[in-house]
Amino acid sequence: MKHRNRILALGFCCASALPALSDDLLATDDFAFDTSEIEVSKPHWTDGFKTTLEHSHTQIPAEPSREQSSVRLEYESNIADGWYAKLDTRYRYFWDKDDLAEARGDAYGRNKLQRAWLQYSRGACTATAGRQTLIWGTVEGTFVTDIVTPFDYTEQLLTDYGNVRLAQDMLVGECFVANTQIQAFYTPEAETDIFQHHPLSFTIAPTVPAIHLDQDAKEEWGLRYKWQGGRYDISLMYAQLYDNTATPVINNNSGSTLNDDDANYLPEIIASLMNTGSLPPGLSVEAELAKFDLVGVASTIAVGRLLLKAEAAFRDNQLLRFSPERTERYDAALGFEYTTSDNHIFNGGVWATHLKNDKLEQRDIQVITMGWRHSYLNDNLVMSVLGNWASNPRFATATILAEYQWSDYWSSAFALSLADLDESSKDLPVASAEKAATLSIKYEF
Amino acid sequence: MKKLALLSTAASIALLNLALNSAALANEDNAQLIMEKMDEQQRLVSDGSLTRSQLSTCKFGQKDKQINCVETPRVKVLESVSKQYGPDKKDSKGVSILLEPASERGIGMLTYNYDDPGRDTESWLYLSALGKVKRMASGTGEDSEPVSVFGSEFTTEDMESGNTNEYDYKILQEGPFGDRQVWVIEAIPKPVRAVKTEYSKLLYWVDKERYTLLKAQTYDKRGKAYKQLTFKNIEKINDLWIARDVTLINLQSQRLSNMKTEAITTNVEVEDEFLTQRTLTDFAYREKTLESLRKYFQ
Repeated sequence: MKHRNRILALGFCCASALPALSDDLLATDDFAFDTSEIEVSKPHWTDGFKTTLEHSHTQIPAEPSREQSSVRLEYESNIADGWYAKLDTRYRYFWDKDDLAEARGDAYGRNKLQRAWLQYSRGACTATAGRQTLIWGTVEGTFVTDIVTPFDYTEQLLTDYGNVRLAQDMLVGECFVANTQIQAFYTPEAETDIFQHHPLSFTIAPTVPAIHLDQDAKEEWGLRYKWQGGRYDISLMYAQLYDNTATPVINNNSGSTLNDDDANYLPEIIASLMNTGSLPPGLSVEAELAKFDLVGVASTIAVGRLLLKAEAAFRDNQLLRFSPERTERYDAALGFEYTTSDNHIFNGGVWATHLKNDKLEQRDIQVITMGWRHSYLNDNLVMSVLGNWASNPRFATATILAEYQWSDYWSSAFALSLADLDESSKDLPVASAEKAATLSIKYEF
Repeated sequence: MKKLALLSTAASIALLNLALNSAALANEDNAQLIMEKMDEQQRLVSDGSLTRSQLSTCKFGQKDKQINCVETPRVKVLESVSKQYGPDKKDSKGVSILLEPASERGIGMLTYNYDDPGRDTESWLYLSALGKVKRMASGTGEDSEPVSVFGSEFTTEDMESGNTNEYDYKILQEGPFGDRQVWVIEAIPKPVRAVKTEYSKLLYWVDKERYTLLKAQTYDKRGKAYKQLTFKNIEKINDLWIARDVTLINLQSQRLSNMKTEAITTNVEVEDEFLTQRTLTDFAYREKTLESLRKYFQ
């Protein structure tokens, strides 16, 4: 009020000052920017195309590195009224020093058709047929219900989240009615080759036939019902699925005399192999792909700056390594994401698994994830930190990631990973290296 | 006589004070009404609209009063659909899809904003690299702080409408500004706005005939000149005046952002279902609907 009166008093008492003030505010001598120097991008038929060239190198001390180059071509377009098509294919070259190339014996190239689908929309429903990914679940970094399209562990650390998956040939139908979404999928023959690009087999003893982990899965299908409100949503899921990789199991052909109080027969098999050079009588080791039912529920709740996520699932007929046993499996995950007023994003989650088989020594597994993310330099630099800890096999990892967008075309990413692994987790085909540095350079146009 | 004269002088002063106060109140009322009318027009533009815009950002150099980009501008092209809701049409729903650059193509954002400051903004992001819709934690209108729009110098605060009750307005000047008659209106954030704004004061140059902005100037919390916005290529589209070329010059970061509305249609029928999560993932449905709206592009 004082300010207002002062201005008015100035206007009343000192009329001679008005022109100067008036000139200041009504003058048009501001900074001038000729906006015509910025070209306007017009729609063009090539707009649907996108090409990405990328080179990525992971350096692991005293171990084979990972070195891959790729060219990716994407095309998507509205091809007719209600029809949409997408193609996404990527050729990767594995240099001779890449660990996958070393395992295969030489450098090699491989094309991966990630997406090739046709979508048709009519009324409230849409059908998508072809190679695609289907992502379920809410808590990132956990695989409670997000197992329809498995992760492809031949991919590098810095691969896009959507591209890191092993796409499936499937038909997905969705209907949207008010606040609900009903989704169904059918996969005639599921892809399970998540670790290797060549036949994977191993031998446990010269006298024992090699175990081939390449197993063909058959059809999978599932349903999801999702209801979404303003602050929260809930999904119910059911699916008949195959495991994403084969498990070596014990086949008890004629009833063995082994102690069946323990689900893990491996120590007794090793003892037999060392003593006799053969498996215990009546036993054989075979690779098997489990077929199981999944029942799941997932929910997200937004409370101001806090996002809470939860999901739970039940799976039957789960296979146990080197055991004739089967088990039921219960998974639950809780996660949160909190955005501060200055846009630091913190997230975390707890994922717990319970295997319902009394013969198992380790029936409960816990995984904890924590993360942070923030953008700097006009959003050109994105820094993030991710930490994981798991109880069985026990491991802890931490990754620091810096992604920098140099221009509309060039970007790079640098990641440093540290892992603390126990002996059992080192045998895992996807185990992290204890120290690794990854640099990726990308050109997109 | 002297007493009468004194009384007369006192009465004159009282009358003068009354007149001054009335003028001040009238000034405030007028300024408030002008801003509300301008804000209402802004909401009408957003009610059933489809725009294709290009947002360019660069660091600039200055020679005299002329400024130029000193680096290749970073360019984002996006298509946006919005619609107003609620009894006063102060709630809004909008969806934006990024078309350029190639590295960000396909990213979509769906946002519901509510006039009620206690109600959370609801937003969902579709990241094409992720292939999944992600709910965002946005906070409420009360505690949200301005954030950059797609990495540009524009912030969410610069794009807001419907908050005219959160400022005290005052007409500072009126007269010719270039070839248009304008009011120059000062806006001082009220305490409710002061906690969440990065500005201590804003000046608006409002076209008297069209009720559109020709220029705006903002000042930071220390009172120093901060951002200057200029509005050009103002056209009448479906009876609404729209600036198709807006430039924001950040005097402190020495960066500028230019938003060109390459194509626009307003007052079209946008079905409510389009402003739902379906649009983010159902590409066939989205393109089918957008194609039917693009026919009205101007």
